[in-house]
Amino acid sequence: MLDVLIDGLSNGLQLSLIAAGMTVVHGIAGVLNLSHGETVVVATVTASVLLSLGTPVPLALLLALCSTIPVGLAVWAISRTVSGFDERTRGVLGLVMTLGLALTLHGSLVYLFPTANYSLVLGTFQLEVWGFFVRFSSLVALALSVAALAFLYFLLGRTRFGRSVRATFQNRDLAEAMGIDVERTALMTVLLASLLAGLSGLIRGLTVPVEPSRGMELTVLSLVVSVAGGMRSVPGTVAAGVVVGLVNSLLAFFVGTYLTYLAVLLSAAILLRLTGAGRWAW
Amino acid sequence: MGLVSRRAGVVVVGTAVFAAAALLTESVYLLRLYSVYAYLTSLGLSVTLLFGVAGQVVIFMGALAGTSAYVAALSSLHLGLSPAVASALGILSGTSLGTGLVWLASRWDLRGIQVGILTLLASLAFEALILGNRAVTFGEVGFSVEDPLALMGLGASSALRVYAVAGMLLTSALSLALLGMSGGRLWTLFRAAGEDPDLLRTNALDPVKYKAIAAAISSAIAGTAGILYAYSTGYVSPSAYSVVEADIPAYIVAAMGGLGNPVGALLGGVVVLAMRELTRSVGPASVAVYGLALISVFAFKIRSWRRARASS
Amino acid sequence: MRSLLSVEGVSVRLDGSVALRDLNLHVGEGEVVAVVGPNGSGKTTLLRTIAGFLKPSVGRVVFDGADVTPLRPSERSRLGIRLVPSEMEVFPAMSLLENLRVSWEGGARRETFDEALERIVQTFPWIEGRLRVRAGNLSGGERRMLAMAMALLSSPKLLMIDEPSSGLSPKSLSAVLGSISSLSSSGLSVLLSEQNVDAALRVSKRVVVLRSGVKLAEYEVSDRAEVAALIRRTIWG
Repeated sequence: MLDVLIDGLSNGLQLSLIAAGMTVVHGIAGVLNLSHGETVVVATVTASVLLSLGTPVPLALLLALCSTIPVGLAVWAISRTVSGFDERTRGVLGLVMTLGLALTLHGSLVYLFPTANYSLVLGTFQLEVWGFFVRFSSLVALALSVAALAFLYFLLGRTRFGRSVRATFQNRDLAEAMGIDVERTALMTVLLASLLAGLSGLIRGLTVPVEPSRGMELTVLSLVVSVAGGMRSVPGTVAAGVVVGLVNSLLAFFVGTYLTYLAVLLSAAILLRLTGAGRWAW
Repeated sequence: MGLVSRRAGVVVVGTAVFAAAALLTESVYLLRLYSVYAYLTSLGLSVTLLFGVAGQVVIFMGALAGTSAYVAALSSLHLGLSPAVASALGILSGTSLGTGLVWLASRWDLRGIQVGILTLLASLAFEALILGNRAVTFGEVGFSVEDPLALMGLGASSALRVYAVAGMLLTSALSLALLGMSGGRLWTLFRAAGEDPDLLRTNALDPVKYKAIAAAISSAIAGTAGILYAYSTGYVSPSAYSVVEADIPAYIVAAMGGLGNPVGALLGGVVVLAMRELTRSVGPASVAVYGLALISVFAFKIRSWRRARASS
Repeated sequence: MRSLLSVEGVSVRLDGSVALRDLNLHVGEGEVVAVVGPNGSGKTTLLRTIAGFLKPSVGRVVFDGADVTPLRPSERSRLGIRLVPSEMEVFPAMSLLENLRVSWEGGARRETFDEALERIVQTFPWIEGRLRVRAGNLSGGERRMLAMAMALLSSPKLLMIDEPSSGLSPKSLSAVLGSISSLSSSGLSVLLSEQNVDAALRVSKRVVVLRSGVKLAEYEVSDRAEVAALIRRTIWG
């Protein structure tokens, strides 16, 4: 039972990492990035391919993270292309173009590397915690997820870069008037989001294999979490991610996949209801 | 009025040409394309009205079409209802679902993409319900439907032709009907409900009511399109009504036409269909090619928009 | 007196119509200049153009001897131009301290943040006790003053304030105008836009009258009452 909780929390945090990227890119670069889930898969496929070629693990993981950077640049290029239009047109164009990018990535990855399932096995031994048996890899995944999120909080809350990001997020014109290079901040934000997405995928491989075709599903999940968490707020996104992750794990354990899925959808709808009228701000 | 009647004229002529082609061609492939065109373009018209005009971001056209199709097919199969009654029931279900969701979104004071997420959740739930209740719905495999024309004794190839022409006529009729509405009071109210709801409130009008009406019309269109598609292919399966197969092309159709232009959507349907078929012929990497085509087409559109604005 | 800011023959189009037409304006070092005019006369447009948010179709903006017309707002801000907008003037979900810090980070940074903060607290003592408060929870007047504090923290050369009096109680307005006066005497140049002619006259040396995007007149402020009457006649005939 404890390992269900741990896995749920872990999944939730990994989802939060991905969704947080989507939230900040939307708030700062002005596009809802439908290729975000594919960024995760780009990293995992790269890692999988490199590992199968015998690359040492740390190098493979590092290169896998770097592989998300070109995707981030493509997303940034799209955001620049659509920036001159009014809000509604910009929104639609951004969605369509990032969708095109998503389809391109999805199609290429599934076609070129159909069996590149990424999985990082740390041994199958278990630990006894508080009377329950927990997989060691689950604990590591949880620890890494927490560390990644803590890093994100530190970055956004305590550094100059983080302040620029938050300022641009809250009031773009004012940020510009305060001497913040908004364009550069947007670029850095998009790249950061891509790296986080990649990192999340690499952590996930510790507990379950990540298939190349999962990209679309991850995009939809992260979109739901991001919006249900209130799109104005990273803490909100994180909270929503944790809720969805936990509900998913707990119910899958007790109830089984089909009803679980419906319950996850329902909890997302409830979150949406709560954040809809604009409560949270960050 | 001149522009409207010119556009209407183009639609009528175009429809006549394509309908004639449908009656003359022997190609089964081509006739099937008509049905796909009618389906996707009708969904695109729904999006044009509900999103392009009333400004509601909705991701459920596939689910609405699917709900109508499944209700019609299942009630015909399990309850023995006649195609006419089953279809009516189906359209009613789809319309209620769509209107209900948009109304709920208004009650929860959801804005923009939040409405989209609510409707997306509904679409995902629809898919889950179909797949999870295999005993009743036959899951992802689907099942064949009682084709009303077959019941009337029409041969398969003639039926295909009739559906092709019917689909063409329905789509054009819907486009013309929307075009006709586009100058009128209701259209303006729809637009105001989406863009400036407070303006309506200060005039003692309820924006929620007009959003609901727009939703009802759009959902009815989607439902009808879904049922017609099911009959013309003789089959219902969840994949045709998924977000990827239905909603995404619907938005592309609407966007190609210029978001809010019912006649443009007709052309958008042709482009989307062409893109799909051409990239399909490429082979296994077709999804990637489709994605590249999508990016290129819109990058090109953006450039021409930019150039048009710079010169104005 | 050295000219710090020079707006030369600037015309700006907004949403298809002309918002500013052939505008000429200059502000010297240490001067307080007010731009007055009714609603929609182009005051905000003028300030936003000088700040860099709008591009003139004709003309140029010269600041501290350099043509800044091609520069973006963040670049102009780093040169010493700071705009205090009339609304959305703070970062609502950040604390006062963070707001000030962000502003300082984007400025000339001739002193450390702590030194700059000390200086600001002397002008706005109420800030010291509320550093941890979220800026969005401040009252309208406090937000306006926080925005001014933020601008001043970065040691700008030109401070532009859009409608300093709007939404302020008479007491807050006096405090704001008081700080403007004392700042200009230490060398800071101020350009403010105002609908409230009396408020403008209380602090400015020179008043530029705008109507429908066109500069109607410019007056040196010697006798306030006399100039006020002159302005009113200029605007409303």
